[in-house]
Amino acid sequence: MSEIPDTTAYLIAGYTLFVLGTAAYIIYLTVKWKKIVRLKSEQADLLKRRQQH
Amino acid sequence: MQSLFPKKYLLLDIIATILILCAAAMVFLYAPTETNMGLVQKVFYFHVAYAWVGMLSFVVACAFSIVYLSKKDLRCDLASEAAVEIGLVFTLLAVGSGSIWARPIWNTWWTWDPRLTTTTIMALVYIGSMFLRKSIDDPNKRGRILSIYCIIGCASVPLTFFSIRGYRSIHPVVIGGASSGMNMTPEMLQTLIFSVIAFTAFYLALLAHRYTYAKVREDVEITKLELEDMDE
Amino acid sequence: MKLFLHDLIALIKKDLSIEKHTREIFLVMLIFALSILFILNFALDTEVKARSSGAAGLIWVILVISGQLSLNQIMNLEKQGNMLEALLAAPISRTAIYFSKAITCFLGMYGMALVIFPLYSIFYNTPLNSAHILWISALGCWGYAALGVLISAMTIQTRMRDILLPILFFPVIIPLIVAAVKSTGAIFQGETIGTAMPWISQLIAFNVIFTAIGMISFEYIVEE
Repeated sequence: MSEIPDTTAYLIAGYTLFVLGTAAYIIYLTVKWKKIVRLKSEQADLLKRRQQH
Repeated sequence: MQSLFPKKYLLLDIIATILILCAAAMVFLYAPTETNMGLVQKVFYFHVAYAWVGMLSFVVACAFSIVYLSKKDLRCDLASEAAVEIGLVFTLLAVGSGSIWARPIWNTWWTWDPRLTTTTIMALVYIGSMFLRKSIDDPNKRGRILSIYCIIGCASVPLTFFSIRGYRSIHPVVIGGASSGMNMTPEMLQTLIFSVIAFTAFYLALLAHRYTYAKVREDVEITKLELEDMDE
Repeated sequence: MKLFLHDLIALIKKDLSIEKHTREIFLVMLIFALSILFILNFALDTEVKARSSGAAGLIWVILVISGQLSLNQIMNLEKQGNMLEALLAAPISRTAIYFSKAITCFLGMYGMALVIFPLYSIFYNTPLNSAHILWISALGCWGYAALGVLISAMTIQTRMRDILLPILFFPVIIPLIVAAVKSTGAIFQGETIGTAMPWISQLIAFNVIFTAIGMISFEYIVEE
């Protein structure tokens, strides 16, 4: 049994990639989601106002 | 915001988060350190999970495409759109993490191994289909053409793997091969299986979110057209 | 069946006569291929070994890249002046339209292969070895045309058109190209048909698969 090679730096790099990549995608989705919900509520307001007229 | 997003999906989010946290705990606390590779071997658990989800997503997209073609239900096309986008993210992360793992172990960032090559070609097919989606406006035409492309991709990618399989490979054979590569202890195997399950749950949660987004977006498009009609 | 063949031949004749008058596609394609052949000369200036050992790969790269021009053009031909709608409205089966396009495209590709293979052999002094190259390259060209026409029928309906074709087409045609390169390469190295057979049978299998996909899905793509 030789000693275990020290590859901690690569471990950290790998998991940083996982966390950052996944987080980036979730943030991207959240931003898109917020935008579309805002658009939807704007449309709902617009529709309501149209019907009142 | 809550009103648009079904409550039952929220449960999936919570389950997926808990499972992933457990998987991470298993990777760092439960699984033993591999003696030949050192700590970097721990990347492998999530790497396999990401690659698995990437491939699963490809099959899911293809399945939705087939259903779309037979039923002409636009919702299937939206689901396939969701699967393609999420699949691309997971595939790229799997290739990237594999590269980081390969650097200390194989002494190279990249090798033309069948699995690596095929996975990357799969990512290219994903990207191609996203471009294709962006450049067609009519939803019915888009659904039809996209579905066919997904099916072609799903048929062609395994053929690619099959045709370059004969090349010399240094990628460890994890499943269905007792020869070289990794000698996994039971703890390692359990951790691997658990992370694959955790990420599958995470994938389903993401798919639900992305699909709901696509549906709301289509609604907004339709309402927009109606509003324009009213203006005239 | 007789009607099908009749339609098929009529459609191919139509495309070929357009080509005869305009000489748009084939010549452009050939000149393009020739210029790549010459660029390769500079790229491989000192690598004499690479020229012969990589011959099969290089020739197929030339064919794949220049064949893409014909794929774009062959469907654009119908898109101009809404010819495609007229064709679809005519009482012709979609399968006949698909095969006529694939065959025309195949003729172009194969014609080009027949020029490029000997030219490469002359320019770079690599022997072609065997006449089997003739039908092996035909197999490669057919698979390329069968899938290419399908993808081309998709991309002409998009906003990005020509630019989209290569990025959609190249990733999915890879297995066929691998098999084609391997089997022609084996013949170039002087192997017999027997030892190259695994690759050739793969090539045949991919041809069958791609033709089946094309035949079945073409009607979904051109549906109005």
